[in-house]
Amino acid sequence: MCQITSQNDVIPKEDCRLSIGKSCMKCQEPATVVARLHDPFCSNCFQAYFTHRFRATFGKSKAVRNGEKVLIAFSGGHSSCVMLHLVKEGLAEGVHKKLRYQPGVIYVDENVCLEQDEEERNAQMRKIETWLKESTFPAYVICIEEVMSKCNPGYRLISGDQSHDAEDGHGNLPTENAMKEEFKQLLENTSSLTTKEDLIQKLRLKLLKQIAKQLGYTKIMFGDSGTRLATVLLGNLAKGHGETVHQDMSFLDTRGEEVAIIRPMREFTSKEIALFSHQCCLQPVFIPRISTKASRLASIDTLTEDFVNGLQSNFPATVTTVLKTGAKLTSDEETVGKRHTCVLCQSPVDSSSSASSASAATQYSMSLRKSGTVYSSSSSEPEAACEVARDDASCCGEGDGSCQSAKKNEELTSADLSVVMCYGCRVMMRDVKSLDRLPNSVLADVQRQKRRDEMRLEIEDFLLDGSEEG
Amino acid sequence: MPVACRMCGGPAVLKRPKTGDAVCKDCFFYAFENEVNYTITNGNLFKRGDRVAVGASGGKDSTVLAYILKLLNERHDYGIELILLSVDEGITGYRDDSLETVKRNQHQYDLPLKIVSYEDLYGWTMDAIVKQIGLKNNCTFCGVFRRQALDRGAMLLKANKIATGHNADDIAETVLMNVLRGDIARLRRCTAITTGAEGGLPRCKPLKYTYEKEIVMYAYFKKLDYFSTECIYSPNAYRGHARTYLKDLERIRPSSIIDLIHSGESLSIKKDVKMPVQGTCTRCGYISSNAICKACTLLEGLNKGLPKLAIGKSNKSRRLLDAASQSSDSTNEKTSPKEKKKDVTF
Amino acid sequence: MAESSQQHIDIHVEFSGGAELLFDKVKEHEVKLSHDNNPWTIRKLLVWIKENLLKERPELFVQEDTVRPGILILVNDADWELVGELEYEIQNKDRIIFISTLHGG
Repeated sequence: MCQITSQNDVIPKEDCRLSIGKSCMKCQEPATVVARLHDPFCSNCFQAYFTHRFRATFGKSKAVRNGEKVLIAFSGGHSSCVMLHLVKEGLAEGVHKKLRYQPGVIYVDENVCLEQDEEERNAQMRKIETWLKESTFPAYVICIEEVMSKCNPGYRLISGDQSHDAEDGHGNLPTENAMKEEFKQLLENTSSLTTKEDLIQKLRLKLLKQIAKQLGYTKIMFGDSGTRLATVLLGNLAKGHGETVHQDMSFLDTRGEEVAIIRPMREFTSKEIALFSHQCCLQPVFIPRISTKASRLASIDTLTEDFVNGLQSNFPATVTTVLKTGAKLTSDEETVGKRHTCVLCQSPVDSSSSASSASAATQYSMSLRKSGTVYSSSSSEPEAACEVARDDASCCGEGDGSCQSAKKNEELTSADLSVVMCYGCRVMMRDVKSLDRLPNSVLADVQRQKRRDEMRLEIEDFLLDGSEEG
Repeated sequence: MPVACRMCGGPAVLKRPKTGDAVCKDCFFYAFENEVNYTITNGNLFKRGDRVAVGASGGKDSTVLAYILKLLNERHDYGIELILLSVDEGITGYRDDSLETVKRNQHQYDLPLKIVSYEDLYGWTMDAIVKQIGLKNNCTFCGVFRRQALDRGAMLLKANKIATGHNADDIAETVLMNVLRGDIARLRRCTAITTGAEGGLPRCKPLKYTYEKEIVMYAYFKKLDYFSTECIYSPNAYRGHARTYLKDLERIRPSSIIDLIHSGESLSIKKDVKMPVQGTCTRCGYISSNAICKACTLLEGLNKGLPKLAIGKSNKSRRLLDAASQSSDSTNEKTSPKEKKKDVTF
Repeated sequence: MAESSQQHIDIHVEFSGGAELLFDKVKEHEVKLSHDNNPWTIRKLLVWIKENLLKERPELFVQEDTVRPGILILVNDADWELVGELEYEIQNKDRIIFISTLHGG
């Protein structure tokens, strides 16, 4: 159906011939890069502009206090190399507008998600460790599977402050194989690449927040570029995470109270970052991830990235427009404080949907499904099998639901999830065969919230109107 | 062995795009019709005694909409009166055939039909507009004009509501487009199931949560008579990208379409963001965020022979047009009959 | 194929940011291009790379007649937008670098 189209607000790329042989917009030297929309810069002016903009981001937001401990999440890619480089420069003595926080740097090892050649992996790790050591900051390496840990996650100290080791549960120990196995199991029981990627991302964040808290860091710094964040924003819309997209891309993201996230690289497109990295001769370490070499249609993320890059190359304002749109959005402020927090992504759980809404419509469709006599479902279809397993609380969650064995966490059903997970994470969980394989910390949060709800129900009659203690 | 229907156990003939369930034909009809009824009742779309103009283009969405509204109105006794309303944009070879389809629908469903034409309303057919401005921005004209045409047609019919055939895919695409364009005002409005209640006639979208694919399936299995063709003045490339993205999303995760609508519904706009104030057009009285509405601006551009000036942002095109009319008052006179014609209509 | 009057241009081609994975993880390539009457453009080079260097999944590197969006091209350390993109005429001793900025590489 044809609809109103005002395509004029979409700025197409100008003819490339117009850029040929342009000189720098600042100093008239021959340009070497085209940054922002169409601005030609020479190398020196580009680097000055880039560095200035990075520092200004901190100055403008005032989000980081003097002396605050900030943990830099380092992945080895262009963007985090540039970020680490700029933080290091910004802390150097004698720099104008010196950055005044205490950084640490951490690398999350996700090797468990891939079957990688041992030798290749060791070479990568050596390069990562070189970066970490050369940062001169306290540096840590942590394995993603530590998120399965029942106590404090263990990490490896590469350099710097030793003081935390004593109080740490099993610090410096090699990762237990059991956790590795559990993590693998979780991924193997996840049916789509979209959900695998999301689970890894959400659990990585959860782990980083845990470890930051444990080590006394109050902020984590991520290196996501503007391009990446625009992709995340659109992807999250498509995954039903609409209410919190503004936080996914903001400079300061305060979900989860104790440890906040900052994203200074959001000011730059991935192109600008790669150019800067190249000019400064930084040596990024390429670490393959689960979506490496995946096709466009492999997951929502790969598709969305392709979509955003395709648009960006024809309409260079795409990324900035998407981010500007996101910056104008917010959560439903009236209810946000009164709602549960999602045990996976710490977004507010969507309020019960009585009014006309997409989630009510979906629930209605699901209810119709059961209105007929449900034919004994053949377990050949994995989705159907898991549906049965989840509806039936007395089953282990495997097979066809006939085993009747009690689960580890007895009452974890899809109904529970609707109370403790946001819409988007519930959609995601449809692809996870057995909920019991989620990390203990997540399951514990589920039980805690459930108990609180039950308690509240018991004392409800005695609560005065409107009393809400979060 | 045939696959069993998820709902009744009989032999299934199709897989529901929305839920992935294998179902038989009857259970599909049952689910499809009940879902639309649920959307209508849960969203309070109609009241007893409403006179509802159903936007009918002859395409699959509006044909299914007309059919199912008639069916549900009888089955559940909504007590509403339905009238088919078609807009003739004046596109030779495109609208002629689809209007024939609407005329057949009129008899098939025994519903009254009213056709309003761009030529009657604005003094211009789309063919004439394309001749003036070429193929680049014609969709802007058509879209803006159509929006008003339905309202004006519905008022002629003394209807108090309009129902349109926008389906879930359309809504999801619009959410996406408004984010990509940074159109925050439309982004907030576009997921509302009923819009335009203040000012114009309320418009509702009973198929808001219905997948396009299911609409096609329903029309196919019900053997509904619809006309399927792309507009000969093809839509713009940018929207094409968005549509392709959406179709690919659906392939990866079928619930994406509903999930995107959910996202759109749960967006809130920051309090300090300036929003356009809705007022009414000083020329035609239609709701508009500017003193003169988009349709009147476009029309003025056309009539002055400067259609391109009018396509940009409203405020800017206003200034350009005003500047142009100061420099050449003669063109104004030449085109006055057409302007008058429009004024006569409303 | 081997003409007597043949000339060559030697160029340096480099893949990084994950793009090297499609080239057997080899980052740097010294390439000899035989010079026929038509000049070598980036457009032509892309076809040549696809046929001669690319080891797998061509769609992850080239799309239609250009490079996949998200892969950046530098010609002698300058943004290819400044030298004419696909139409740039490659010179002897040019350094042409492809950097993937894509999340998965």
